[in-house]
Amino acid sequence: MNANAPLPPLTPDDPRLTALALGEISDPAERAALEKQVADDPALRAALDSARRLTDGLRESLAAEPLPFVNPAAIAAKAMGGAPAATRRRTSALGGSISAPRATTDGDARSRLVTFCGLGAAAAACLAVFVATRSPHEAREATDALVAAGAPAAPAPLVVLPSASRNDLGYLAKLLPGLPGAGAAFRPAGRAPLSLSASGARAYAAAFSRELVAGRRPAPSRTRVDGLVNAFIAGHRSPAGARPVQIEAALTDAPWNPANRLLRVTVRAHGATGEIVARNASASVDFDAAGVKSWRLLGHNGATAPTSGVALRAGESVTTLYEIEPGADSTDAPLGRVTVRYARADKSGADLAEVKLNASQRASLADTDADTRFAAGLAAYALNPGENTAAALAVAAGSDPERRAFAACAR
Amino acid sequence: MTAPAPAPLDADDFRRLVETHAAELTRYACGILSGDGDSARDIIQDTFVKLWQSPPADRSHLRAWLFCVCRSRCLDMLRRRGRIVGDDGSRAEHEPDEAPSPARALADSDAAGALFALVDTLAPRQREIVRLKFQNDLSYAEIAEITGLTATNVGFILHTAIKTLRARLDERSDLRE
Repeated sequence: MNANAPLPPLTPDDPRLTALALGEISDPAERAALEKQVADDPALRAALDSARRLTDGLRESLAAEPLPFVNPAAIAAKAMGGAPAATRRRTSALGGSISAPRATTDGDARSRLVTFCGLGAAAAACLAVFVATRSPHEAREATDALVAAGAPAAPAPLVVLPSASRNDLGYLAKLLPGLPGAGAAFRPAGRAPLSLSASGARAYAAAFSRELVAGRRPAPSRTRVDGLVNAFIAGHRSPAGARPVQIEAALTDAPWNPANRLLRVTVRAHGATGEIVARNASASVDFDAAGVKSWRLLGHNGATAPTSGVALRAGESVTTLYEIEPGADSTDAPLGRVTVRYARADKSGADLAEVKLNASQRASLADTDADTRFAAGLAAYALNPGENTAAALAVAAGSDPERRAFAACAR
Repeated sequence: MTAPAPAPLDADDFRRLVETHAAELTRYACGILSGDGDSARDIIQDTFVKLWQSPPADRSHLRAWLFCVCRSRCLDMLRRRGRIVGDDGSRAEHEPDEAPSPARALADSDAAGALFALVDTLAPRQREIVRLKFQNDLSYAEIAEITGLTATNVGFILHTAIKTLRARLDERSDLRE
């Protein structure tokens, strides 16, 4: 600005007023002169205030638009013409075994989809939405991730959350506002119940989806997160010769509170499908005060689930979610252990499945396995249903058709 | 004398750039391509191929450079589809603006979503600049670099867009009274 040149007077309809509201007047002398004019003129002050309110509203409104999901590792790998480092195995299995991704290798996935969506016209609508929302590009991207990983039979993070979440979980916090107090209260470290029955979960999820399609969002206080989670999380098949009962545990960030952790524990029985492989099973999680300040069960809402004296049939799996408030050392401290005691049905004696938990085994939401990511999405949505959590659930559904169908209902 | 080729990007730096910018670029491309997510992702892939193979010599404006390349690819695609005619991204005259009418946008939105819905009723260029400014937090100078406009023009278009939005919000208030 030429200090000697007179500054044209501002008017309420002046682009310089908008620039002033947006901090775009870089010349200090010009800015000071304009601010003086505004200070001396009530009409200009009102116009500036109005512009600031509107631009603040625009920032807030546009920032709330979810970022589309992308797979940065696959994009980078393809661009560089090599394998992406980020697709390295990080399945978050803290113990037990994880084999192939359920959606692509589980032979009964399609029949379960038909069963799930065949429960009524409303659920059939889910399927229709699912078909409409499938994207060949997404399928291709998922395939790229697998191929780049070099081991198609192993689990891979087929779809990751928006890239911002990798660096800034505040983004997810914005997407997923705080839970309204649903779920059990936090308790100090110690023994926690671990459910051994998921009976009725799929029927519950089907009924839940019918409510959604009918335009009714079930109240969080009545929602059984465990029912939804168990309808979609089946655990993974064990390798041949494995013990009849196995435990999978995965630790990630609680989407609604990045300071807290979300623990998924899945107990799965193996053997000839339908056959009882374990009797008188009892299970628990013992949280260690060294790494856990407090914990709470997500979603049971006071309902009791059997945790002992249970017969387990091959093919059955039960998943339980916990929210954990970490102790002072949230990066490398013992969190406790998961234990399932049972008698082998073949009368070969008592047996024990056990997995130790450690804070160092945490994987971010972007890097955790697809089951845990979707379980986190289900919990967030069920406990705080809304557009943002529904959008996040759709992202977390990845390429699994059944999960996508449910997410479509939620939206 | 030929200028030396820019130094290649470090692979880890490149991955970090992809992680940081892929999602926001995809959203930006979706906006230009009327929500065509598949094409947007193809364009983002091309954008990062270009970054890896031919990075700019000046790395101080990488974000604006990425938006610029992305925008250029989007306009190329629209041009191939006959959706725009000018190098500046102006639309073909026969092409109807797919944005909803303001009345429709207002009817479809609640109070919280009104502003968001109204942005989509703006003219394409206004809409793009509003999004670059308020969604991506870019300065007038950066938006000018991306769009090929002058910073003064960016300021004028933004001012006009804000005036339009305010008028439409006022209409909404009048309708409610």
